[in-house]
Amino acid sequence: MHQAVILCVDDERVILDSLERQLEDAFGDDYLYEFAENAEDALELIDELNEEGLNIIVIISDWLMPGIKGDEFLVRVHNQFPKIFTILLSGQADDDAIERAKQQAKIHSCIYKPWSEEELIETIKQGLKTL
Amino acid sequence: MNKSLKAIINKHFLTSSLTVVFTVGLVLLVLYFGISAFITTKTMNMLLFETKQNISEIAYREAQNINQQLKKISTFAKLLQSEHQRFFENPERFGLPHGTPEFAVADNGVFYKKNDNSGSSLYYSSTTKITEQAYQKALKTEAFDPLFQDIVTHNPNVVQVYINTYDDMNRLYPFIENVADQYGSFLNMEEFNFYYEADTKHNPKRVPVWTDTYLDPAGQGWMLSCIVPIYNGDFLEGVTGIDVTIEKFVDNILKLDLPWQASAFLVNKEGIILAMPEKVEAYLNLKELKAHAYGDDTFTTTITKPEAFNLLKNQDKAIVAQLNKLFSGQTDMIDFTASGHNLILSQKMIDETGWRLLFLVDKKIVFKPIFDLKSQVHQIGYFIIIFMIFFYLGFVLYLIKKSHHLSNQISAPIANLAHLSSEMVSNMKTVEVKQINYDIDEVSELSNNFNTMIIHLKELFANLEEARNTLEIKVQERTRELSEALEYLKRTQEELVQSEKMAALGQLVAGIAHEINTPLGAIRSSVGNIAKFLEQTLEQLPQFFDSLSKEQKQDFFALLQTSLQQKSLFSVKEERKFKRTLTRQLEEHEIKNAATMATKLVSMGIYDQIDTMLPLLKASNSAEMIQTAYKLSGLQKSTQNISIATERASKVVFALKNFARFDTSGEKVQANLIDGIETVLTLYHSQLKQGIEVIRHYAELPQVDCYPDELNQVWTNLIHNALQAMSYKGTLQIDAALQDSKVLISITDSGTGISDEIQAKIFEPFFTTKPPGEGSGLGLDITRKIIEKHEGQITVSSEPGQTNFTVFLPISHTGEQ
Repeated sequence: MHQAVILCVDDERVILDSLERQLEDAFGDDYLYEFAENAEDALELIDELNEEGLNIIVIISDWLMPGIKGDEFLVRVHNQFPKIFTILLSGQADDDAIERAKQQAKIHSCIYKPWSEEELIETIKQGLKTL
Repeated sequence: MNKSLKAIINKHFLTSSLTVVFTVGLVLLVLYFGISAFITTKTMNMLLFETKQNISEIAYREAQNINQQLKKISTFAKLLQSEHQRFFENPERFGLPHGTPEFAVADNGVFYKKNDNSGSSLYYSSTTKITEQAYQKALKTEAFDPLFQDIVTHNPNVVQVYINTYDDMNRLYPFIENVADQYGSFLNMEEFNFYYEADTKHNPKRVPVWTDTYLDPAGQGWMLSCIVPIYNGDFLEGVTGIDVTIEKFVDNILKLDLPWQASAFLVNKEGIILAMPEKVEAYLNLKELKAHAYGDDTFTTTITKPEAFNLLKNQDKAIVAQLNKLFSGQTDMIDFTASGHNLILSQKMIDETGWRLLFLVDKKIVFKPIFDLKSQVHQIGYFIIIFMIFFYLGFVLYLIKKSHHLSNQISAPIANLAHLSSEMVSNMKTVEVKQINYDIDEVSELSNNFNTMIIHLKELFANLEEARNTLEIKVQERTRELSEALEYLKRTQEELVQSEKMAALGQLVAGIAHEINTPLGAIRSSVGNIAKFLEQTLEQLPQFFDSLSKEQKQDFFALLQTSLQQKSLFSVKEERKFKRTLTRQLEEHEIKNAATMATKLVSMGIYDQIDTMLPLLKASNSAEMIQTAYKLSGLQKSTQNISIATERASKVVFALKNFARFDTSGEKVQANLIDGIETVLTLYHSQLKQGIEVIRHYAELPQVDCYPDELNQVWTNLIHNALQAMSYKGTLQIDAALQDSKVLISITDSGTGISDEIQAKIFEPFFTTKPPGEGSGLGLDITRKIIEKHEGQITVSSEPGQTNFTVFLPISHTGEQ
């Protein structure tokens, strides 16, 4: 069976690096970890991974990014792959956007930066259980 | 240019009066001199005509007179002719009237009469032989003497009477003493004109003829003779003549007392002057040969006048030409010019001799009375002019005085009114009403009306003063009320400004939270990572190193070294490519978990050149080695991330500190505008990075006297508006330039633009295009107020895709709030 993929989207490289370490630490080699610096790259990457037959199970996305914002990105992902477990990781997002993401993208939760590692990992684990 | 009323009246009064008087005077003078000149010319012509007529008449009369006198002499000549012819027919019948004379023969052989017996002298040329017959002729012709004597005595023109015989005898009355000496020893009668002009050849009709002027051998000077031949049958016995001297003619005939001092003179047929008064000689530039000089020698032939005395041979050709007209008989009168004189020359023929009697009149003399009159008229004219000048002087003085008086009379009251009105203008209260009566009704009425007006105005003015005082109190009240209201408004405005500032800040907070939370998140996770390493990995490290062979240790440290030295310059996307390539390479080398391995290697900064690492990668404990290297490099990455994140966060905090700086001093400070703009851009970093390209064109700017926090609010407003107008996608261009003494900050967005009608309103307070709750509508109003506080300006220009707000700020300014 192909490996499952956890995708992280954030325009900040330090955030992506941090996430990679935390995920690796928590899940080791159980999953593949992929990263994108903006929503457009992420959408592209999702297509590629699908073609490669990789299964994206979790997406962690920032909200405030150049180009497509997190909420809209997750709405699109949800429309295409409703099974993917999505988490909004935001430094600051207005309430309307979070509400919209919850309603339309069915995000699992919204975690605020600076986030707690346990909270994040717990949330992902919860999500993985639902699969 | 304005003139006083007085000057205007003076000027018009004087010009209108003087123009008429001067014109009339001038016209009269011109008429006077014109008429005078006309009359003078007319009178001259008339006088000339009359003179010519008179001269003509006088000439005619005088010519007749001379003709008659000459005729009378001719008649005498005829008388003598008949008597002498009778004598020669029979000399015996005549006796001796004065007894027997004494004859003698002179030393020169001349036979002559010796004594004066009251008769004639007698002379026989020495060439004649005194025969008995000759002697008898000398004796018997004594009978002629009484008649000779009568003619000479009774006719004043006649000076002498004579007979010359063919045998050269001469009998002449009155008696000549020493006749022998006078005539000389011999005379040949036929040589002389007074003889031959009467001979058969020259005078076949035997009538009396007149000779030309000749010099008298008898010593009487220039002479004319009326001569007749004396025939005895057909034999010419001799010639008898009556002599008239030129002097006599001049004295008796030509010395006429003529009007206009006219001069008369005689010329013969050929033009030779017979008699001419000296006055005429002067005109013709001649000297008449009246006087005569007898030399020692007697003469034997006729001596006539030299050619110089022929008028027609005058040296002046102009004179000759004019005279030729007269002599050709074309006219009897010519206007004659000679020696610079204008003359009239009139001629009349004297039939007896064929002579011409000429009259010469100087026109100057003719016109003298007219010229005299003319000069008198002119004198009168000049006198009139002088009189007029004096008159005009007096008149002008009189007029000036009069006009002065008149203009005073008119202007003084008006000037008084003007003065009063000036006083009124300066101070209404002090104006005094003066009742003055003026000579002129209208002015008087004006003055009265004016006084009435002053009284009314004073009343009105007093009322007005009172009203003003009341009004002033009211105004003061209102002013106080208004200033209170203004104070309140100001406070309100300050509150509004503050709230707008807070609103702007609030807008920022969202972005700033992200800006701070993001590095905080990174720091937190990095710290967590390090902590975990210390807890979990560190203590396993010695055991791990012990498990490694010597070669493996070397490979491991080489790998770690490569990783630590590597700095990631690649994007996530690029790294993924490396990861795939690397995965394939690892799979080719049949390394397990190639994908996971590749991920970790790339994460450690190892993208290729894995050949040296192959022993390590192919080892049985390769997963553990890679994992440990990964953790160790993660340690480094974590510290790097903390450093980066801290820097980011502190930058935001610094910008926030700058932005929110509270300058409580209320005084301007020197600040760099670009720093302020950059602060705002930093705070907006999160918004900008979404899709805004920021283009900066900064010129080097000097420090500007300003309230930096207030200007930050300006930049915040403008940039925030720009971002919203572009929906956070597009180009934001910021220009900073120096223009003269101003700094120019221009913020241009590529948004949809602002329509013209909205442009007019955007600076109005409470105007907003944003949905309710998003904007107070005070942003640009406050922006403008802040810029005005800095004595600057803000302008806006907009078209779709390019909206520009430009702020001009003076570098230093003195204005204080």
